[in-house]
Amino acid sequence: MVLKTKNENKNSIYVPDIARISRIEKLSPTEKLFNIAFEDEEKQNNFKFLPGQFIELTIFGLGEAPFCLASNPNNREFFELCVRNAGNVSSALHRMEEGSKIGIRGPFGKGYFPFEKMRNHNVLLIAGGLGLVPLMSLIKYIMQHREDYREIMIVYGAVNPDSILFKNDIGYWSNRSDISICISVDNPDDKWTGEIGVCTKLIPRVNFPPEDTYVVVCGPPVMYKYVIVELEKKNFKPENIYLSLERRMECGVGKCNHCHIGNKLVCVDGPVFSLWEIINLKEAI
Amino acid sequence: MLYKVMDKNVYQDFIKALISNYEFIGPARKDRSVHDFVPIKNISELDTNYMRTTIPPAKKLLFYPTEKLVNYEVGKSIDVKPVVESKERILFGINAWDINGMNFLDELFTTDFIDENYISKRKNLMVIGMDSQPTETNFSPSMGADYAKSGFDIYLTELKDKYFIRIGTARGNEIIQKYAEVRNATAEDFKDYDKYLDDYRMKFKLNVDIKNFYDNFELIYNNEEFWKKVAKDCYSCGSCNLVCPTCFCFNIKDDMELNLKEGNKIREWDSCMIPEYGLVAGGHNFRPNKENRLKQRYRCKLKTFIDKFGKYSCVGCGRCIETCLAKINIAEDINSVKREVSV
Amino acid sequence: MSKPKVGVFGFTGCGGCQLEILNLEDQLLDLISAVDIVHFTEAITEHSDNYEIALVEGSVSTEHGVERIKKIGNIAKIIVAVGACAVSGGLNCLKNLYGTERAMELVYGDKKDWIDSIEVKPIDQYIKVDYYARGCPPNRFEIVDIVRSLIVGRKPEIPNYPVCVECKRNGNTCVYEFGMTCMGPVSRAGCNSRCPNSGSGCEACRGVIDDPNVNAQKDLLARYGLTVEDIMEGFNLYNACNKVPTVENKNN
Repeated sequence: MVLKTKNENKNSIYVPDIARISRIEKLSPTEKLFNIAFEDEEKQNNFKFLPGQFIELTIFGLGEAPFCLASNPNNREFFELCVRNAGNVSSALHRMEEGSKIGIRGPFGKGYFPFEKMRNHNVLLIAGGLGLVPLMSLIKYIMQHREDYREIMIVYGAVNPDSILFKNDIGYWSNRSDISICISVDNPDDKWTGEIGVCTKLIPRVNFPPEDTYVVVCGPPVMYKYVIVELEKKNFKPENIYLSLERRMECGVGKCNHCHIGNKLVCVDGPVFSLWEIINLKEAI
Repeated sequence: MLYKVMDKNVYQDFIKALISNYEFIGPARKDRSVHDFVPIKNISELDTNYMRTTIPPAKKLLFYPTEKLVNYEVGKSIDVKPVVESKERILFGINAWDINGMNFLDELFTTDFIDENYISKRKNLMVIGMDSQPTETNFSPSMGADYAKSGFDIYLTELKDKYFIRIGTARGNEIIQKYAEVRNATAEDFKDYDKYLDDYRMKFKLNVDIKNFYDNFELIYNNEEFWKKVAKDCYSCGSCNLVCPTCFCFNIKDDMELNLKEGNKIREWDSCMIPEYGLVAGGHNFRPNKENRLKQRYRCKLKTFIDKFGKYSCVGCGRCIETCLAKINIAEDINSVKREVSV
Repeated sequence: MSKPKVGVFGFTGCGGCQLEILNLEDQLLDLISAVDIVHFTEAITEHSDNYEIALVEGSVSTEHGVERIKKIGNIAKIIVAVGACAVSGGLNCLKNLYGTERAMELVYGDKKDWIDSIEVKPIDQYIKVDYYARGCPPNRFEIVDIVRSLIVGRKPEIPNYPVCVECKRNGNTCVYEFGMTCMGPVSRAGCNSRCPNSGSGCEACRGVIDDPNVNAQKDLLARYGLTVEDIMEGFNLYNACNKVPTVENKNN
């Protein structure tokens, strides 16, 4: 390649835009939900994302980390992140207060949940633990355009009843007849009356016709292998199964290479992949 | 491409003119075993007759081991600005495989998103290439990287009493017109150049059988015995990555000055051989052992970028073979993959 | 936000770690304006027992030291062990190889009863240590980084990769090329490959990494004519108190 131009482009893909945390809600002992909007109104108005995409969040002077967007893409006033207190950045974020300033880059990821293709089909959503977060964006979108979709079912596994996220939304959906939701916990408490065990074992009960169904899956790394086995037993098609993958990311823009799995970069080509794309990609699952 | 010829007796004046008019980076002897590309102030420091360099010259000049990307001031408001460096420099004496390594980095840093921090340095780097003698660990002909088709402004090839010059860019042509006395290459010159290329290629002794690697690797990938053997002595020290002309993995860190007002985003070379490379915040490590890491490095060098850019990201320079204290040898291992599958 | 109060304490050692902090030169003023130093044996005469962060150098080798370190452990919220002596016992641990009694006899002869001396231990044998600034001497910029990390509220990043990483980033020629030996491939980085930068081999003053390839290192050193004993001596120079993985028990 021959580089000849000498134009002084001072934009850098590593420069975050300033944003403000407008609201913080505790969802569980370890997770909080953050509402965030850019300081610059024009930037906020132009901030469009697709379900499944992520952003890079900077806490100035401390560090940067990727988080999946959890809100309805149609909500243009702010966006939501649901963050577990786990690493340096997330624990610092947990210590922050409403009104605090942070940096945001993104949205990133060419691979998103294909909500267009899913129209006029059934959608089965399978989430394990924090894996519910990226799915929230899709679920909220679908619920807003409910008439475009057919049957919707959520299968959600959590460690214990306390760790169930988005309880308000789940409570609201449970009272609706146009979405079904099954929750299973590994460690029930005295009051728990629902399913017990890993969410994988709920899959055999799903009776959506395979040719007419899209499946989306997100959960901890160990979950995928087992879920895929169950989905294959049900004859769901690999090209209609979508998975959101997690890897270490530093840059979010396909440069630092930490998130690569063979010829795929989770940050640029994903984070959502169809099972077909990665079916024989070593290390992916 | 323009083809010109320069007489040997004007070479010195040409170099002197470049040294006095530009920031000139070229090879100089570092110690008894290696050369290093450093700023040259006087032609006597320049030694183009080199074999080995530890850090590839283009990587050294374009992609620093640690580099400030973003600077910010935190007060009532937060003021964020990119740190983009762009000064005009000449990189003189870089060889073909290292130019090909640089071409790979160029493509990487401009694919999907443009990395201004790299590319602004690249745009202002004038590249004057020159062949150097291959070491015995060099297998660049097998990787198609012993000859540079592009990526340079000027490429000088030393023949008996003249330099055969390939001019790749208008910028290179300007420099030649301004500072050198040249004439058009004749049929005779091309004949000499052709002979030179044939002889030069004979100097590479190491061959690897990479042709069927793309598919064979998929079978070998699951062969635990094979990888246990290959990675047995691996220190996970990352030396192979850090000296590689095409390894580009990096971390980004945010740091605050002690005054707690000024901070930076800094990138720093990382290595896929270090255990922490695949670790995520939740504590899961996607490549927990050295066998995983080594085979993934081979995949990245020899397969991944066939899919993405249509070429290997290994240029066969042999630096990783020389630097590995555990004597892990990518050339041998490519051949063992072939043997393992075919025999 | 009030400035965190910091105490800098010295135990058995050469005192060089405290000097490293004083050697910070242009960063020193920033450091003392970012924190409140209430005790610093080598630098100030004032003393207060009111501190949150304790930077402790030196190993514990006396009964009196045991009392002192326990008191510091009770007061400070965060303990940072600074330097090889505090972190792993350092050179002082070589005494343990003789046994305290024998060492006392050799050094003090019949006056040995006058001396308060016990088996040498790193400070984490007595109190819980939060962070380790390894090395002999420690990297002063790493000490600053630890303090800065504590101020901004993150875990300091202490490298768990070998010295080779930093050595290559610095573009050094491997010292093995000059016929020297080096512990770099198994030793913890963070020193910015200080010794190889000036042309000598690494001596593992920051200890070994979490998962060192001991067998490979043994083979490597053997290629350069070293025996298992030489190799153990190499590991022991700074790490005699620690159970470093031995060549024998890692054989498989």
